[in-house]
Amino acid sequence: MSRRRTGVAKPSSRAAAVAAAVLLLASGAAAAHDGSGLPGGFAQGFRHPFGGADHQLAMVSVGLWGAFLGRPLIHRLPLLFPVVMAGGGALGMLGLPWPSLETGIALSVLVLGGCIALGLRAPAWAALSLVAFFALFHGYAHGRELPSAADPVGYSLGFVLATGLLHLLGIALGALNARPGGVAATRGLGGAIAIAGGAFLYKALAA
Amino acid sequence: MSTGWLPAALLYGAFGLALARAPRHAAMPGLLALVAAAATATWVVPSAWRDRATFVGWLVAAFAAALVHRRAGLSSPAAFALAVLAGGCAGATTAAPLPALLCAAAALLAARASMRRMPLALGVAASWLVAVAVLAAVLALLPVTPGNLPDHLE
Repeated sequence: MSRRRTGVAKPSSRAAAVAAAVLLLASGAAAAHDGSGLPGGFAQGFRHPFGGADHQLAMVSVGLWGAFLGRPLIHRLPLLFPVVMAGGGALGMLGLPWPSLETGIALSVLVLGGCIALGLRAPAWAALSLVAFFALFHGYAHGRELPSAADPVGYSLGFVLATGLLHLLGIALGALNARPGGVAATRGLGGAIAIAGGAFLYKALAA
Repeated sequence: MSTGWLPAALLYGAFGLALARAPRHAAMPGLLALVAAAATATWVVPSAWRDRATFVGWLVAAFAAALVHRRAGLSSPAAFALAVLAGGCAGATTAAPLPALLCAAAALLAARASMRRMPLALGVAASWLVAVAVLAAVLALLPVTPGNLPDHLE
């Protein structure tokens, strides 16, 4: 029996609409990276990933690359990322030293964007390892930036939920692959993400 | 670091999701055990132990949510034991268990519906709960949160 392998998932259109609506409502306020005092809580935690382009692009890339890779990675990557991110967040909260945080985050955008641009179909263990590695960096950044909050648990709940919705958006964008010219479009999007990652990396190294 | 009813609610929610992976006949005994353990803990556990109970509760929540991903599911005895553990921790962390207890029933119903129509949603919710519980457990160990440190882009 031949196994039809499209490498493309058909995400729920309802889920995509929810993700888009959330982004429209949540984007704009650059609350994540102003470095000033924040009261915390769920709203701030939810806004945090949307406020930083590096976080947004990396999270969307995880979902989009998963859509390229197809089953089971389209499910496993977004399942793995929050859990490992929480581990990184725990390390950040504990204040453990972490090498080259900015470089790692910039690299995540560059590498994940590059994987999409090249249409790279990595084996499952490699894709999961790569995503887990970068999840640690993003989680550490969230953990270190957790403000003195009235409700830090709500903050954690917010940014984990926001991260998941960004993954969902990436998976929804992967639906373009099923359309004529869609693969070229998503690979072009990956290229744009990789270029942005390159800019972030240059900024991180030049700092 | 307890924050009102939220830790208990998330713990009950994680238990509800895990209970969905147990045999159907384990649901009612599990919920009853949860209520009994929570009520007992509310009366028996000293309030001075609340922070420790909160920390253990987050670990139990992470464990329960992780069990959702277990291929073999949850056996009836394991579900009962988890119910006692979850109820005991949640009951020790909040003086008002009933509102949060509704989360267990709601999560169980949502999880059963999800397993029929969209099983991936159950896995996603469980992963998110594991992440939140791990973070919250670490927060429970910290005397203060990291505070407003310079952003990593600055």
